[in-house]
Amino acid sequence: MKIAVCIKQVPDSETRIKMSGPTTELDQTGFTRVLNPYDAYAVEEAVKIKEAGGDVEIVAVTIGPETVKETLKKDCLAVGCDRALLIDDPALQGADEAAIATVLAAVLQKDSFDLILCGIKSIDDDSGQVGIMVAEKLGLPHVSTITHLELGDGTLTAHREIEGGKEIVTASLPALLTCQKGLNEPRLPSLPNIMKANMKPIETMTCADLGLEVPAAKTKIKMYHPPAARGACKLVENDDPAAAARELARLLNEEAKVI
Amino acid sequence: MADQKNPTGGEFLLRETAPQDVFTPEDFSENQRMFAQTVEDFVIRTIEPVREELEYKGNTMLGKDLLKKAAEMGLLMADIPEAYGGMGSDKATIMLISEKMAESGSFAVTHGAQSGIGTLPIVYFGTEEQKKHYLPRLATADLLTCYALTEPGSGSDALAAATTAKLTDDGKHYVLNGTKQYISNAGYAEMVILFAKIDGDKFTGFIVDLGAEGVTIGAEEKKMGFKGSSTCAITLEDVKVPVENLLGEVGKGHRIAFNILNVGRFKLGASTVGGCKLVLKHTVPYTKQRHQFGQPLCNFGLIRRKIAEVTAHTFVAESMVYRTAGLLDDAIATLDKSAADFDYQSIQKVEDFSIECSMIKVFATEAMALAAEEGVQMLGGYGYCQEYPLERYYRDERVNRIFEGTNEINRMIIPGMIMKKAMTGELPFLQAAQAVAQELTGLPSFSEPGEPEFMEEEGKLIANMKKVVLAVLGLAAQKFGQDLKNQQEVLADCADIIMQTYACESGWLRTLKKSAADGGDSALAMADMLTLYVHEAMDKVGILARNVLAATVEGDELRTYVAGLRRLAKHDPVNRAKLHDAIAARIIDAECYTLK
Ligand SMILES: Cc1cc2nc3c(=O)[nH]c(=O)nc-3n(C[C@H](O)[C@H](O)[C@H](O)COP(=O)(O)OP(=O)(O)OC[C@H]3O[C@@H](n4cnc5c(N)ncnc54)[C@H](O)[C@@H]3O)c2cc1C
Repeated sequence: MKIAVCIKQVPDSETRIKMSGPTTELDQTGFTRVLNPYDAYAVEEAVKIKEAGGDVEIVAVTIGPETVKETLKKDCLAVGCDRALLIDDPALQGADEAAIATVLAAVLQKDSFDLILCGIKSIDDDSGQVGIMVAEKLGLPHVSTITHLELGDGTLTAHREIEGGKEIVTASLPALLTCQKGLNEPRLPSLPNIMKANMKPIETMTCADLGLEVPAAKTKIKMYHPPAARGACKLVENDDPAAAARELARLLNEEAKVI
Repeated sequence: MADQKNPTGGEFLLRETAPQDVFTPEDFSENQRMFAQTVEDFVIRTIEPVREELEYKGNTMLGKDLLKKAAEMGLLMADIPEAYGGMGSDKATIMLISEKMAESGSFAVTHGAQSGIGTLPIVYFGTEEQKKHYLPRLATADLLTCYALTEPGSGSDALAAATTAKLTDDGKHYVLNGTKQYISNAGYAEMVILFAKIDGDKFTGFIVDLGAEGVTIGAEEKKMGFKGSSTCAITLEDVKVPVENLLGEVGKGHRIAFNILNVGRFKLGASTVGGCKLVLKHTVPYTKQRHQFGQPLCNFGLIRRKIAEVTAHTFVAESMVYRTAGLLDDAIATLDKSAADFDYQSIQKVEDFSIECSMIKVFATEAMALAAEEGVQMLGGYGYCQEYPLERYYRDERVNRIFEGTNEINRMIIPGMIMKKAMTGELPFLQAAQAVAQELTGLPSFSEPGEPEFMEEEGKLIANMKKVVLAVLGLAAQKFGQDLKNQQEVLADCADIIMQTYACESGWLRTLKKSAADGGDSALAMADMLTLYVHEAMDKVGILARNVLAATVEGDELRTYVAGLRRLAKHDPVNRAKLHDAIAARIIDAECYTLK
């Protein structure tokens, strides 16, 4: 069995984004970069399938600059992926979801994967589109937001979260799944496995290597806006609760203008 | 004297070191950075959820399970050679792991007892059979260990141990009797590296099964800090230990004890550097949020000074720690790795740097003491409450200056080892001291003042500090002769001068290396800290040296020396307030220790 895991390197969620006003590009110098947390569920699920036995190969696939190799090594290869494919093409800078999905589909098509696992979304762009688009482009069945997975003979059963309950879905393989929190508990790499990851191959390629014309983005980010600065907190002090409530209502109405 | 490439311990005083020859944290490899990240993640994932239970409820038994979890991540493998189930990591990696482990609080002590002092005696002094038998299981935490040197009657004076060992008539066992005290991890350890005197006089190491008949583990000590680490006494009553469990050679236990302490010292240096960084991480954001007099605390000059002082000490300590790691790794790299006694030879290389190991232990633990002290102060009332971790750091930090050799004992080692190396001719210290004495008591020479280069002024001060060391320690050695070892105040002051010199030079070399690699602008933060630190250190050195001189000579001789010293220690004052402000500004912006 061959499993592909599509991953993305994203800024750490604790990254402090510095911007004084609206801007078209973020200053990324101080960013620490990590594996997109949802992709960690995808990696872990693939590794669990491999550990359950059988002849399983796991390939981590990603698009990004050279620096993504650190994430590929530490968070994919060192936790159990067998090899990695990195599409490093400067022409893809500013690529949107549709363009990324086109490139991923092209890479994935080169090989015959039985299962493709993605995170439901990446925590930086937060769009949740790429995995599903890839499935569409490859003509594969997909199940999104999965929290449980069982593989059968050429089939799969997945649980997906829906409002107020869960849906149990079956599909045939090959298929693409997007993984949600709750699916598993991603492991950390151990120190010796980090060392061993040095030996595992990371193959780097460009769109041209794939015989692919660089896909044009269908959308473009025009501007980033910093959130409005939070004003000082106002404390309504009054020993009489009724008077305090009145004052609070007045402030919400007249000053904050929210009621 | 050693060749140019391979300096020996203490030699930094007598030679110039090229910046590109020192190891710095900027030189960490990708693997090392990944290891560091993994330890940080381990702490968040495994320690954080049990923090309350461990640190504030004092559940020391958690250590056992946590060791198993650490073992799964390979965190007990770094010190163990590959042939025995470990990773055989270099010292820089081992120190980086210790640094990152600091955030695990009490577990850092637990981890050190298992993977460091409880394991290393076998790595370095064990027979092939002993290594094969124990090390793989120690790496996986299938066997839990500890280290017992201290006794009720012998702490600093460890060789005065009263525990005895007697060979049985059939020659198959030693029978051990005695009590060990303050043993980390003793609450659950299954074996112990223990020292006893054969026939009451031959101090020797043993591997003792704690399940053996006659072993009693005492109650947990009620400690000031590190409340989640197990510390108990071990009592041995006619405990039979098979002769195969003798460690090293009969009567050579001191070799094991002192060398293991040495390794413990450089690891503690690294872990307290980690502690200093934690202080900044947990105080600086608070000083930005908390307003008084209509301003955030971090706007006040006195708060900025605290942030700057803690940061500069952290930077210097960190530079010393990793420079020392590089010295050890370079020395070990000269050995034949395939030699059967490679591990034993490598501990001898470490031993050669016992001066440096003692210096980083004392310097970094005292930097951490300063950080904890100022950290509590910056938090005001919250610094005194358990809601913030500073209260805990303040208590935990205290023992760092007591164990792994008290800071007093380590201060005695620093000049003591230098004199020992001087006497055996290993370091041409006395010759160099004589030359400086002539310069000091002779007529002053005047050099042309020019436009100083980057860090040139600081470089001159550091060169002068070395001369001060040579002058005062050389003079003390000459005046006191054999009695120098009894002049503890003179020795301690000399130790401080030597330590400040190493501290300043380590930071200075690192700053130069950084600016050479990435341009002067990239090293501006380092340069600010170093300028601040070196000038303060030179003031301290001046006072310490005057005290040594006054305790050593008198009358005209004293006056001549003091005049010479004044020339060496002379430096224009720097605008400290401005430097404090610039250093603090970077830290306040980043909300943690940073060199950017
Ligand atoms: C939490 C904790 C964990 C520990 N874990 C271990 C462990 O795992 N294994 C182990 O073997 N030990 C352990 N120890 C013991 C520790 O190493 C000793 O406490 C330490 O060596 C000091 O010995 P002491 O307590 O007997 O103090 P003492 O030696 O009695 O010292 C008391 C004071 O006198 C000073 N002093 C002593 N001699 C001199 C001198 N010659 N000149 C000047 N001043 C001197 C000391 O510096 C100190 O200030 C631990 C201790 C603690 C608190």
